[in-house]
Amino acid sequence: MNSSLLALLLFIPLVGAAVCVLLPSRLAKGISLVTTLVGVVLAVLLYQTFEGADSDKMQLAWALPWIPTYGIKFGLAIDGLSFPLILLTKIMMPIAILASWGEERRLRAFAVCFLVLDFAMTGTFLATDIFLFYVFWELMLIPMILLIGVWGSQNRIYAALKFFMFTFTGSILMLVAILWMFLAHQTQFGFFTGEIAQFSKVLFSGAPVFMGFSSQDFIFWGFTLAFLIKVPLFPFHTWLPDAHVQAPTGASVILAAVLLKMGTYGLMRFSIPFCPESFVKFIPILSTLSLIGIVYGAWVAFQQTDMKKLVAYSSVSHLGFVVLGLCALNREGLTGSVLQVVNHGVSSGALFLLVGMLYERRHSRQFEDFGGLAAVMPRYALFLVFVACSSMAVPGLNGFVGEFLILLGSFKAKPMWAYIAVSAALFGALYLLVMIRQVLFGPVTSGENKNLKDLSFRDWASLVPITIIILVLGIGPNVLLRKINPALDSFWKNALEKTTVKTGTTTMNIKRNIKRDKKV
Amino acid sequence: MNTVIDNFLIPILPVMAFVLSALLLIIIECIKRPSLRPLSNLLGILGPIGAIAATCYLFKSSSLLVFSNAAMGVHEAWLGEFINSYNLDEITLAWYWAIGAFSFIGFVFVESYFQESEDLPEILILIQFIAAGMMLLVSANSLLMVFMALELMSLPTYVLVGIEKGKHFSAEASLKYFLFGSFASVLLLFSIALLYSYTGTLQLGQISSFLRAPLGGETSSGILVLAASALFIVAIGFKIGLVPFHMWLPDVYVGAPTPITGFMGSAIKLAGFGLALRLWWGMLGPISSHWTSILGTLSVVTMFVGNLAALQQRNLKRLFAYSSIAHAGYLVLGLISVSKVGSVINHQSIFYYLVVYGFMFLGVFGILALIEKESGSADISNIEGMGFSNPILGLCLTVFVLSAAGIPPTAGFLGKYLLFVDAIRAGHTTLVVLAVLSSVIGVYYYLRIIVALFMTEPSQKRVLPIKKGSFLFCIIACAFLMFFFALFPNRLGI
Repeated sequence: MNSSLLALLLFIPLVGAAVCVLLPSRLAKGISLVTTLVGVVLAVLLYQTFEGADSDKMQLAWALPWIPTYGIKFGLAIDGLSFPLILLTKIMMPIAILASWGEERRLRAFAVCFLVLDFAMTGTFLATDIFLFYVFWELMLIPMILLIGVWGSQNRIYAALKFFMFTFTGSILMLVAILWMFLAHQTQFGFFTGEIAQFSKVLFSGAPVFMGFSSQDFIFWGFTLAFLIKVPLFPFHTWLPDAHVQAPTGASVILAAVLLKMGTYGLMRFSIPFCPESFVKFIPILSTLSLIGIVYGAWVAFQQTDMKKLVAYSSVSHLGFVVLGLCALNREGLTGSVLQVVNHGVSSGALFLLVGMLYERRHSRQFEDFGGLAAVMPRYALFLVFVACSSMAVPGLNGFVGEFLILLGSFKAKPMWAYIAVSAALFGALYLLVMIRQVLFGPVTSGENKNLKDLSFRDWASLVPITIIILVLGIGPNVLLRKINPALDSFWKNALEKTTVKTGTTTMNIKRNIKRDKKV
Repeated sequence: MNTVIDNFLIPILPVMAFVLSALLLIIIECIKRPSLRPLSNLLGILGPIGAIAATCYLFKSSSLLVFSNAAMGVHEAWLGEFINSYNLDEITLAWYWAIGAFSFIGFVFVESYFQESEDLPEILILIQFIAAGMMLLVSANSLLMVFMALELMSLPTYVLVGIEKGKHFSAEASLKYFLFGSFASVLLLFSIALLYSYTGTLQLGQISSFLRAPLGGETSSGILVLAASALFIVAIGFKIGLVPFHMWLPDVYVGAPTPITGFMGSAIKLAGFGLALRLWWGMLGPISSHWTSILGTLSVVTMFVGNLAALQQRNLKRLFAYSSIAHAGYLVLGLISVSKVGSVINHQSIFYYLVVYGFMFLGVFGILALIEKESGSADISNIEGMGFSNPILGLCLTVFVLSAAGIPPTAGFLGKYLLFVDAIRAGHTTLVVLAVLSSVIGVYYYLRIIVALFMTEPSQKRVLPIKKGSFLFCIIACAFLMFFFALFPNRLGI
C-alpha cells in the first residue's frame, strides 16, 4: 500500500475522468466529486504515512522506466516541500467542484477538465524527474485554459489566451534551462539523468559567458522567470486578474489555491537548489520586485470595486510575501513562506468561493449592487468576515502565523523590507474591510438583494472544512509544521551547500533557528 | 539463383510489394469492369500492408547481414550494380516501416475521399508508385538511384496534386509544383554531374571516402564539391520546403486534394528528409563544417517565416502548410545535429520527430478532408464549436494541434525535446534558443484552433458525416499514437 500510495493519489483522478467519459453526462458531477473525495481520503492516509518527523529525504518513492537512453524515469516521491501542497490540492479539489455545482453546460467535459487538472497538479508536485515535472507542468495549462475559455464569463477567450501565452512563454524558457541542466549534468557526470536531486550536484563555473552573466545565471533566470510568471510576481502579474475574473468559480478557487503555488514550489525545488549562487546574487532584484508586488497589489486591490478583482490583486500582494520570505535566506522566512503558501491557498480559495456564491445568487460582483447583506444573509456574512480576517492575518487565524514569520525573517535579513511589507499589510486589512463594509453593512439598497437566500447545504459543506483548516492552522500550526520541519531545517543547508557565498550571518541564522525551533 | 533471391529479391521485397500491387491494379483497370472495383480497392490496400509485412520480415530475418556481406562477393554485373546502389541497413528498415504506415493511412483516406470519383483506381496506382519511389529514395546508395527514385516519387505526385480536374486551384497547384519540381530536379542532376566529374563515382559511400581522403591532400573542399553541395541544398530544400525555396508549398498544399496533401506532408516529407540524411551525412559528411552553418541559418529562418506566416491564416489547410514549413525548420535543425559514429548515422531523434509529425499531419488532413467535404472549405470558422458537436473528431484535432505545438504530454513535445537535446549536444545552442522562441509564436495559432473548437459558439450547427468506419479509425489511431509514442518512445528506437 505504502509504495503505491503516491501512484494512487496521482492516477485516481485520471480513472475518474475515464469513468466520466464513459458514463452519461448527468452523472459527471457526482463522479468527479466522489473521485476527489477519494483523493481526500488518500491525502489523510498520506498524512499518516508521511514520516516527516524523522527525515528530510524523499519518501514513498515509486518509479517506472520511461526513456532509458536519456535516464528519464516516471518517478514519484514526496518530501517536506511537496507534502503541504499535495494536501492543499487534494483538499481544495472537492471544494472547487462543489463551488461549481451550479454549472449546467457541458458537464462531462467540465468534470473531465477538473479531474485532468487534479491529475496534472498532483503530478507536478510529486514528480522526481525533471522531464516528468515539465510534462505535468504543461499539461496543467490545457484543462485550465479550457475551464476559463469554455465556462468563463464575457471576456473569457482573451483571458484564456493571455493566461496561456504568459505561462507558456515562461515554461519555454524553463525548457531551455532544463535542456541546459540536462547536458551540463551529462558533461560533468558522464551520464544522462532526469532526477531532480542529481541536478543540485551540478557545479558551475562563475565565469561570465554573455554580458556579464554566467551560465548559472542564465539557467537561474530560465527557471525563475517561469516560476515568477506563475506566482505571479510584479510585473508579470497582469494575466492573473483577467484569468481570475473570467474563470468560473471552481477554476478560480483552484487557480488561487494551487496553481499559483507551483511558482513558489518551483523556486524552492529548482531555482534555489540548482543555482544558489545566482539566487543569492539576484536577491536584491527579487526582493525589490516582491516588495513592489506587495505594496502595488494591495494598493490596486484597494481601488477595486469588483469583488473578484479585489481578491485577485490581493493574491499578488500575498504571494509577494512568499517570495520575500524566501529572499530572507533564513529559517523564519522559509517557514513563513511555506505556511503562507498554504494559508493563501485556503483563504483566498475561500474568498473566491464566497464571491462565487454571491455571484451565483445575484449575478454581480460589484460593490455598488450590494449593501446590507449582513441582515439578509447573516450566515454568509459571518463566513465572509471570518475568511477576510484570516486573509488579513488576524492573530489566532492561519494568515497571521505565516505573515508574522515572514516579517520576522525579513526583519532579520533587512529591516527595511519588513518596514515596507508591514505598511502593505495594513492596506491588506484596509481593502478587505472596505469590501466588507460595502457589501455586508449599511442599509439594503437594492430590492433584488432583499430575497437572497442564505447558505445552502452545499455551501456549508464547502465552507466548514475551510473554516476548520483556518482555525487549526491558526491555533496549532504544528499540526503541519511537525511533518515538514526536518525538510525546512535542512533546506538552506542543502541548498547553499555548493555555494562559496555562504555568508556568516546566513549560516549562523540557520543554526540559531534550528536550535530555537527544537526548544519550541 | 540463390544469390539473386538473397541479394536482390528479398532485400527489395518492400518496394516490390508496392510495385506488384500497382501492376496488378493496372491490369484490373484495363479489364474495365465495374464489378472488379472492390477487388481493386482491396488490392490497393494490400500494397502498404505487404510492404509493412515485408519490412517486418527483413527485421526478423538475417537478410541485413546477408546483404552487407554481399558487397564483398563477386556477382553478375547487374546484380553487383544493384548491390552497390542499394543500401539496406537499420535506417532503411525503420524508414520503410514509416513509409508503409503512412501509405496505409493515406490509402484509407484517399479511398473514402475519392469513393465516388472515376479516377480512384488511377489514384491508387499512382500512390503505389510514389511509395515505391520513396522507399528507393531512402535506401539509395548511388546518385543514379537517387535521381531515379526522386523522379519515380515526384512525377505521380504532380499528377495527384492536379487530379481534381474541375478545380481551378488544383490545376494551378499541379502546374506550379511541376515547374518548380522539375527545376529542382535539374539542379539535382547538375550537382550530380559536378560531383561525378570531381570524384568519378556515383556511389555515396565512395564519394564520402573520396572527400575524406582526397587525392591531393588538403583539397577536400574543391570548388566543384562546394558548388555541388550548394545545389544539393537548393534541390533538397525545395523538396522539404525550406525557406527560401518554400514558395510553392502553401499553394500546392492548399490546391491538392486534402488527403493527398496529408500524404505529401507526411510521407513525402519523410522521404525528403531520408534523402537529405543520406546525401548530407552519408555522402557529404566529411565536409559537414561547410554546410551545417548554412543549413543552420536556413533552418531558423524557415521556422520564423513558417510560424509568422501561419499566424495570419484563416484557411486551415494553408495554416498547416505554413506550420509544416516551420516544422521543416525544426527538422533541418535536427538534421545538422545528427551525430555520426563511424558509418553509423544516429538518426533516432529526427526519425522520431518525422514519424510523430507525419501521423499528426495525416490525422489533421483526414479531419480537414471531412470538414472540406461537408462545408466546402477548410476555413477556421467551419470548425467552430466542433469540440462539442463532434467530440471525437474535436478531441483528435486537439491532440494533433497540441502535438504540433509541442505541448506535453503528446509525442510532439518529446520529439522537440529530443531534437533540441541533440542540437545542443552538437553545439547549436543559439539555434535552439531561437527555435524555442519561434515555437512560442507558433503556439498562438495552434491555440486559435483550440479556441475555435471549444470556445466559440458555432454560427450554424454542423454534424460531420463519417461514411466509413475505417476513416474514423485511422484518425483515432493517429491521435492514439500521439500518446503511445510519448509513453513508449523506445518503440521508435529512442
